[in-house]
Amino acid sequence: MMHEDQHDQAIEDILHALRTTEPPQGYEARIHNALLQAQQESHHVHFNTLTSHTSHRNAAKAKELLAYLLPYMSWATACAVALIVGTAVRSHLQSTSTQQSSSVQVTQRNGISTLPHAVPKAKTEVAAPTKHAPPPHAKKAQNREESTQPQRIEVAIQTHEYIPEPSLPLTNQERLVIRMMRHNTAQQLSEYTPDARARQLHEDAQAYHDYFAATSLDGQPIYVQPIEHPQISGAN
Amino acid sequence: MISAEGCRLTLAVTDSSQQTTHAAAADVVAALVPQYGTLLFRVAHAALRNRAEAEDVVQETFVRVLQHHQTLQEVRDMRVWLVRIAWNLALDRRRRIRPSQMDDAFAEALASATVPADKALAQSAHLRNVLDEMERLPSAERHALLLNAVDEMNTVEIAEVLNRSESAVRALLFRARTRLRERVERRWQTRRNA
Repeated sequence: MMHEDQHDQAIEDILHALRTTEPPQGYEARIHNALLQAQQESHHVHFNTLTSHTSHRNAAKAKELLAYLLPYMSWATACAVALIVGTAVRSHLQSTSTQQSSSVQVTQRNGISTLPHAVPKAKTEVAAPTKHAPPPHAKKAQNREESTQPQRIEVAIQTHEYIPEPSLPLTNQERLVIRMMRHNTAQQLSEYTPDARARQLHEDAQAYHDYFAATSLDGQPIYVQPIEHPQISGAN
Repeated sequence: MISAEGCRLTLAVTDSSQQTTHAAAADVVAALVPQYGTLLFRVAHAALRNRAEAEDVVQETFVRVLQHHQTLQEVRDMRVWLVRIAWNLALDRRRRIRPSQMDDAFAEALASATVPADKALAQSAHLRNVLDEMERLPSAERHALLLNAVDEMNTVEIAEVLNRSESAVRALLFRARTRLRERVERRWQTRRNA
């Protein structure tokens, strides 16, 4: 019985201790700080949410305003486009006219007339417009090259650029070689060596000597100085 | 431009009104602290038997109230509503800490305050056994016993906190005291025989 009283006393002591427990000092201040911090955080969260809602609302209002102004803006847009296109065409025409005038001035300054180029071109076009006409893109390239050549020359003169001299006319020997190469066969050309040429000359001289030695006016043979036989190295 | 200024003005007005609402709610919640702070601390301490943990529970309780300040007007009994929040938060915290870990210090503090040092060890051991048996009680009985330990809580309020009838709470309290006494006696007898 005594032990039961002790047990009841122990239980009551524990419950009394739990009942009379006092909170630590300053706990109310700490709770207030926690409340302030939570209030600031919730305010930031609410402000962000409100800002996002407001931005959505602004976007919706901007759409409504755009839909309202769109019929009025169509006329203004059309006028603006017409003005821009007109300005662009005008500037393009001005630039092309100034380019053509500058090219003409350059050719006249260099003494190169564009008229001789124009006449044969017209002739060829009239004679055989379909047979010998170059392809369009090549023709355009040629025209472009011809138009740009005077400018190139002028630029080269101004910048002291090296311009190669034009080719000189052929000599007689060169013309003869070319003619022989064109008219003789390949075998004849292969035989046209210095030794064969010397033998040919010797035979010609011997025939001349034999002719004049055989026929003289006074019956005496005409003295013909014998021709020095050329030293033929490796002659056949 | 006018619409943008209007939106900005609306935002400012809404922000200021909302800020005012938050400030008013904070004032209302802050006014609850001195009125119910001690009660909530004791409720949480009865469940946790740790002062720091009990203070954290009280702070969290008032922060929850501030976050749901719109429902303050719908609360019929503020006292019971706050105790229920604090009790549930304390029970959630009991899952992370075991009150038995704190019982040694709690029992030593009780014993040393009442008896001389030579008897303090024996009494603290006895109090520790009582606390152990209290933890081994069924949860409903233990909850009713611990809430009843808080002096300010009557049976009706305990019934509202535990979502039970008043008679059920009374029965729980009777069974809890009887069972606890029997178990403490049995334990004492077992130690004595050993």
